[in-house]
Amino acid sequence: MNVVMRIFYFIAYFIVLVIAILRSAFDVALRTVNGKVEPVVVEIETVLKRPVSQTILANSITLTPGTLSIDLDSENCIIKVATIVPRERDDIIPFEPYIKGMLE
Amino acid sequence: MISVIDTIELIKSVFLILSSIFVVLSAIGIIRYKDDLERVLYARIHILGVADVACIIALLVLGEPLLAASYFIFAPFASHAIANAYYYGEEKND
Repeated sequence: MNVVMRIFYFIAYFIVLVIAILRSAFDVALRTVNGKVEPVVVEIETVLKRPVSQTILANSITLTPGTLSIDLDSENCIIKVATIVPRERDDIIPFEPYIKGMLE
Repeated sequence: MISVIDTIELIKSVFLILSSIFVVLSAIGIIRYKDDLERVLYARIHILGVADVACIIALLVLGEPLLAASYFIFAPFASHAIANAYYYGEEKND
């Protein structure tokens, strides 16, 4: 994959990340008011293989309010994620395909 | 007639008010949820994430982009470390 596509994927990843951060910041700020909070710990599998991209994925998960990465099993590609309410996998990591295009 | 500089100041003020509302809401959330809720520490770290976002917005508006970028990269490490220590310490305590 050439460099231009990687840079394009980086910009797209950054835009998706910022939109996800702002949206979930409003969501969590609303949940502090109305009290709908139910913290759970789930395990999600990732398709990323390289440790650097897994680390960037875990960092992005923690940077988004409402989701928090606890542990990363690098060999089995499993991330333990604590979410504020039970959520679907695609809602937790909407930026995974962009990291895959950027670094894999 | 509103000039361009006034418009920029207005937009900056709106973002600062937004971030201050975020800080107030996260402070309310921290003292609101008591220990009877199950796994309450994760909920508190999630709510502190809102304060992180407010801090990044405020630093960008106040004209400190380098500080905001380093906060953007390094802030998750702290909450990750707290959550990891709690997750593995909890099993030992029970």
